[in-house]
Amino acid sequence: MSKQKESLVQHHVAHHFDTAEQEFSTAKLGMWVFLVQELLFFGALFVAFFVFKYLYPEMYVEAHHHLSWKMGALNTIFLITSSFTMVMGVRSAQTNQRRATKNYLFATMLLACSFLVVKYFEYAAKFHHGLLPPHFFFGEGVHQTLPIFFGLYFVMTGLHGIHVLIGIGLIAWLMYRNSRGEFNSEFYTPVEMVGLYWHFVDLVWIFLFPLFYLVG
Amino acid sequence: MAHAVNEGSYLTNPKGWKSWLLTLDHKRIGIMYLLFIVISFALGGFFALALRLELLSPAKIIFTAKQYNQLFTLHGAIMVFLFIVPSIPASLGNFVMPLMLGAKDVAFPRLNLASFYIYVFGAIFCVYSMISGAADTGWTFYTPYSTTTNTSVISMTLGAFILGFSSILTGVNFIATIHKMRAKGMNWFRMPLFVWALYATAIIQVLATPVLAITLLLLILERTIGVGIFDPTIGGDPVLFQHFFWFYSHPAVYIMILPAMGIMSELVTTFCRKNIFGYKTIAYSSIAIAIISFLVWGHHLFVSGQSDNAATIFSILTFLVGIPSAIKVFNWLSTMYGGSINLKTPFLYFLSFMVLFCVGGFTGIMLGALSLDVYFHGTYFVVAHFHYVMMGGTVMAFIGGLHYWWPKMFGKMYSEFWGAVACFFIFVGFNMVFFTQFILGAKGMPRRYFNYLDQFQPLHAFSTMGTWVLGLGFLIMAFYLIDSLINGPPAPANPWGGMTLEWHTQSPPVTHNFDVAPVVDHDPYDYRRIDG
Amino acid sequence: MAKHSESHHVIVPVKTFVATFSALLVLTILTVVASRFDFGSMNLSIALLIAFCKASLVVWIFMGMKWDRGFNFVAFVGSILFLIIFIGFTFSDIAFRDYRDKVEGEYFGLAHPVKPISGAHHE
Repeated sequence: MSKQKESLVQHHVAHHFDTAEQEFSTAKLGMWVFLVQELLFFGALFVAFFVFKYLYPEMYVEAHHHLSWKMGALNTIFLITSSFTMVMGVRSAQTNQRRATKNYLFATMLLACSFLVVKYFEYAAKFHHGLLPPHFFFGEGVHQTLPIFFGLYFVMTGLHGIHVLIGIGLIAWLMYRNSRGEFNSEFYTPVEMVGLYWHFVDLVWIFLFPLFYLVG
Repeated sequence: MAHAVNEGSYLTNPKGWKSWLLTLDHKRIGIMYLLFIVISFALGGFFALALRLELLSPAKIIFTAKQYNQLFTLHGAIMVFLFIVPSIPASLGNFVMPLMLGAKDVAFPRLNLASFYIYVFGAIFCVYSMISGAADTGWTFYTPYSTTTNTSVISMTLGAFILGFSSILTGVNFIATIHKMRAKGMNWFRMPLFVWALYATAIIQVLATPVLAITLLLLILERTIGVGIFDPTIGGDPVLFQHFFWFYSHPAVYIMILPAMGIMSELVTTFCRKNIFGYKTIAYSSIAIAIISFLVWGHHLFVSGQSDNAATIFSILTFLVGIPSAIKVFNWLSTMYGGSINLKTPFLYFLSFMVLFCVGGFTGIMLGALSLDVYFHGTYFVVAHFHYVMMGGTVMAFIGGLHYWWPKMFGKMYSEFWGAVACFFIFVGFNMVFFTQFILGAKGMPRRYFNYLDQFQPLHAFSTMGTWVLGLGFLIMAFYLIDSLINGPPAPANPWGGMTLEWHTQSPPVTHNFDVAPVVDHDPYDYRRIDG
Repeated sequence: MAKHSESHHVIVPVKTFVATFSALLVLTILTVVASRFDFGSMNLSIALLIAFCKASLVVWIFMGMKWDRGFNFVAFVGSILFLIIFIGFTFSDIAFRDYRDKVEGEYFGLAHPVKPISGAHHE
């Protein structure tokens, strides 16, 4: 471990593990199991989405024309690119390239912020047109059930947005730890874990985008 | 039988309240959970006593109808979310499971402490709801009533939402621990059955609890900004809420009972001094119950207006749960056969469990039958059924487990005589309370009613008197257990002659669990090895 | 226990990541293009199929499932099965209510109980 010059802070295997390998694979297993619960957390919302798509298909068609597919596509590209930079960040941590890790993490964070900026403009437009959850809805539409669509839209994209926000926080934390030189080929567990989380956030958007913006 | 005096046990090393509050030791976290869970149980029990008191007579005694609604809501919500879901896994499981695996700790000790504090945080919201106009929706929070009542639903559901995450994180932690932290030689089929049960429980916690979280979140949002999906006035569907709710809450019933079944498997081998009958079938039936539990939630919606197709499918699938449950019961019985039975207090609770769980299970099959349920639904029959399973099953197992591991946890022995006396009162009191309610239900007494017809009064009064006997039993238990902490004789490392690894370390264990990392080379209950 | 120790040391070549990234971009364009045409009832299936392909790429390569397998794979794929159970059983109710509503409507003259939209409830 000492041959890595970049490694300024050495990681010590926690007392209850026998080896670093056991520690790493346990963390990874824990993270996957956590993602399983995330999947069902969002999954339930998708169930609700499909139930009302089944009950009110015409309303969904009308509603999705109120969303800008261009903005959605732009955000999809932001998130996919950020997944790519994240995975490159993990790779650079694996190969002891501290500087590259920093740059990739920064790029990921920047893309995540861009995502939120686009989201902000989308939300602002919805607020302007009154296309809001039922208690605040004052928009115009053919179908009386339209508020349900926007209730779901704000809950699902809102929760996803909160996950993006948490992701930005986690990446900032990684950048701090990276600047202290904590990560190297022997220890990069946190980068890998945040990476998994970040890809999952991307994964949710991969389904949100076509369902809300394209098909309706 | 090395004594703890020299280096000190986990209880005294390190010292100071700060070392407790910031501890990463699974044993200490288990004990802290135990304390909060017992307090919650006392609180929920207090509400039960209060509402049974009100039912002593058909007329108003102390509470108004609305207060009565709030009482049974608080009783249900506290007992479910604060007591029974975390009861066995988070307290006893946390304490014993790493010991049973021969591990130094759970996989993520900091996460373990975090889930404890999340639990406390969630509990604060529940208590806040209690004092700020308690919710009166019933613990199931059905829409549309829960979105329109002006009682404090939001803080109660927010509390349950937060408690859900505590449960999820415990599940994540347990799955990782069981996969990765087993001692050398401890393969999957050398794990004690309690660990198998906790594993099955953890699967449900991870897969089902997030759905509860999102359901409660949707309910909170419905009350604040409106989501519309549960609101029939704009085209939403309140029955969808029930689907969402029971997708979690039916599996949650098995979060409650599976660990109890695990404890039963431990008790029966130790106190019959005999290898368990059908180890693998018990282990697999735990997993089978976990999976089947996801296929049956619709039997709560038989009279809610779900489609006939769904009701029929759910009714048929519900019968499937009976198979793995019965496999376990028959295996425990077969284990007792020919064993040298040692009638200690934990085993008395084992026997209570066997009787009460069978009654609860059989009536469960009755309620799962679509045609019968249409009649029984919403009567005291249902109340009696789930109390037989939840209290007669899980609480009996929890108490049995508590008595079983008490010497290990605190290094003290309690009075066997008073243990038996308390068990007698609890068993008799329980049956007084709830068997009566089977009769009430069959006669058509609806649940959650503040008033009732005069003809039901004798049975209601008998049931209420049962709660006093039951309460007395718990009071006796509280006294002798607290007394044992102060005056009890020190416990040996292995007072019951148990085979599993937790009995191989001193009582109470040292902070790092084992002085020498254990190596396992035999089955968990192989009594022939030592008995010849 | 440490059977999958190789996963620790797999360093995936950059070109694999670039190829995956490009494929994801192409699929994004494809799904947008597909949505410009009307395939009738197939619209949803096509969109979901493409999204599923994209998701698989992310899980397989970016999240490294390809080099991981084992329990993590079983857990993740298994959870999708439970989600399918959730959707399937919910629809066994939602999609079959019409029948009884119709019958009850005939006998009792009831309106559709699931959709009692009460006019302009909101402003």
